[in-house]
Amino acid sequence: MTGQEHCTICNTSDLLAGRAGRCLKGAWNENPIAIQVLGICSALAVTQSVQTALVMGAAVTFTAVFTNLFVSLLRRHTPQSVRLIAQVLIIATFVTILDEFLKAFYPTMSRELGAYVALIITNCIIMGRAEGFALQNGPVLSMIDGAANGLGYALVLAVIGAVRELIGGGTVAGMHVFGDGYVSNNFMLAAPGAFIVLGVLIACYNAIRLRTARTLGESQ
Amino acid sequence: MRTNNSLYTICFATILASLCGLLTAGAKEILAPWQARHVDAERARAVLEVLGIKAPADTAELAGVYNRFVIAEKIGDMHIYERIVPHAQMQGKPQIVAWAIPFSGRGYINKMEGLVSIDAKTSLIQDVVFTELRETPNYGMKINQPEFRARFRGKDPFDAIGRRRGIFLVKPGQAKEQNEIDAIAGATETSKALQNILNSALDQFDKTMEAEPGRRESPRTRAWRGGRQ
Repeated sequence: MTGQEHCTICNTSDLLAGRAGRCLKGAWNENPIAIQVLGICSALAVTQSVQTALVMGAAVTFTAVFTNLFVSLLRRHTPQSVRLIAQVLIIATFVTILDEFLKAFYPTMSRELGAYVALIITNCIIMGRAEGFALQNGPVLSMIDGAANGLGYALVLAVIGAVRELIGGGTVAGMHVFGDGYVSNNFMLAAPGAFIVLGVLIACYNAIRLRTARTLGESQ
Repeated sequence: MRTNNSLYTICFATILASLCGLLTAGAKEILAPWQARHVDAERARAVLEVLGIKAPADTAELAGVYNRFVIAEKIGDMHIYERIVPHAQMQGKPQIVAWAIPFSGRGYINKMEGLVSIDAKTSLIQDVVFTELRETPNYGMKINQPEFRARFRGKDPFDAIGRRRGIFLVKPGQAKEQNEIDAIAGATETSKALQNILNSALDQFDKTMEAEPGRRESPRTRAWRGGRQ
């Protein structure tokens, strides 16, 4: 690619091509979970509370930003035949660093997230952005793209976590909302509860997007 | 730049792998002291808690309290933590108040780890503390609730002549014997796993104490046996 930025995953290139500000919209218009339905394994597994969801969101954002940066910096030097392995290696490096950091400074959270931190290596969002965006664009724009997608992921995780924690245990971020007498709803804390919340969230998300698009169409 | 020939690819892969290896090894090395500090502090807190000593929040104070009240010993293959009377420690004659025995094994979903404490005089269970527990939320995880842990207090895993007879988690409301504990409703598999892990640890402790000829007549062994006679 020359100069002009392009995103192969975000097909709506008329919306996103060229500008960092436009690419930031990827957090909403092309949200990795709600629109692309990527990375939902961890999204369902670590959303029993807001705290774990936010830390997981921050972890994915960190990994996406630095992976995109390095993939972009090396894009002209990476042999085509080993580019995917090189990307996995870069992702694994930053995930390992992050995992060690959590173990050193947030051991409780590290234990709560368990294997899901290490499993960020296999998160389709990171690999997707590295392959689909960072490999064709400059470092700054790639970092912004990584941050936008990471924040989009974190936003959805936080909403799912808040709903599950609220209905499941009557708390949000550990603070009691319904009082001590609230009878916990175990269904919402189990995996099926996460699926239902995600489904409802995607439905709401699409309804808002459609309404917004219709309003914009009418105004034009 | 020609990036598609084999030599270039091998050089690129080698350099990238080396750099990534250096980065991860460096991070691990730099962060290792903080990680070790957390591991030690968490272990010390768990030991103090299971031995009935209030652990201070401050890490520096924690080390002081731990060193004052606890002696960690490796007896045979077991790491055993002994609660001692502090003033006796000062005189060089540690008087053991209780033992904390580590237990570890496979729970219903994940690994389960913790400590069980036994009173040195009566050989009754004092407390159970979990250091690693990831069971089903609101079911298996209930074994970590204070109300459930309290059910272990005063339970007797040994018979009248000091032989281990084990601890049994029975259906809720059916615990009658001194070595029976009401399990948690809806967490049968977690309760069974806990029962097996605890009994295995107590068994190992019993065998370790028996297999130490030099310790048979030690104050520890006398207390161990004396409590049962």
